[in-house]
Amino acid sequence: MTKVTMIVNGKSVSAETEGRTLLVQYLREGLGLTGTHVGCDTSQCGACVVHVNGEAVKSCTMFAAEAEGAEVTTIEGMANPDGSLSVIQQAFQDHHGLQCGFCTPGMVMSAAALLKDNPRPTEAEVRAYLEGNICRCTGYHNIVKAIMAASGQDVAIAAE
Amino acid sequence: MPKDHGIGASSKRREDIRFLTGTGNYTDDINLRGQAHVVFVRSQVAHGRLNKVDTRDAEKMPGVIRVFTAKDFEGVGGIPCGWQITDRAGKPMLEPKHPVLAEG
Ligand code: FES
Ligand code: FES
Repeated sequence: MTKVTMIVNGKSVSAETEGRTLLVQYLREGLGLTGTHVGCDTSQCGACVVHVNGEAVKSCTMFAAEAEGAEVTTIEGMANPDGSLSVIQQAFQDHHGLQCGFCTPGMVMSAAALLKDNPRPTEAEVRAYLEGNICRCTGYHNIVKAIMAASGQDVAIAAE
Repeated sequence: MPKDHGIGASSKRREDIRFLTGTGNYTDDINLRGQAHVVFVRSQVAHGRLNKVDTRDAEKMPGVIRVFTAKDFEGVGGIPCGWQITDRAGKPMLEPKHPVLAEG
């Protein structure tokens, strides 16, 4: 067991951690931040995406110890400071970009990482970027619409 | 024109807020003190015959509360098939056994 310390959603946290503990376990089981989901445990579904030092990372693919000293942002840290939904979260609600909500934290985190690097992506770029995020409910169109809208672009995309 | 109020207008889902902020509280998110966990042991071969299940070692493992096998479900019956259909000649579908846990 080693002590692993990092900054999660702006707060410094530390926990005794086994070497094999995954970042997602550290967040969910250690810190009780269960907004980050485990859909597959094998780096395929993207339900566990968080930001590590500003980059989107599948937290089931990284050991907690590798995030020592890092700045981590999870879905719990995405709302505005006053608690209202951020632009991306609001766009998901407005465009029905979620149904059961299981994939949603990962979708929002991926969308945020995309828009940070590419504030006005094309629809094709949004679809390509979401390659690593699986949604079993929505059929993706409304997720793409939500991200286009969050980037301030026309949401009238082809297929309904 | 999409309507924005009254009958026919789409309404905002109230559950979205918790799903979008990471407070959905799905079954996997619930972790109560003293909560038990279950592990299903599956066949390690793709096709075979189950001769016997020896649970003695498993029962001795620290923290194991109870090991269940098909014996515990004697008389419970199988998992029923939801839709029994017939073929064109009206013959009923052949339904394999669906025991709760594998029987030898
Ligand atoms: S749980 Fe990490 S990618 Fe599916
Ligand atoms: S909203 Fe259900 S999996 Fe995406």
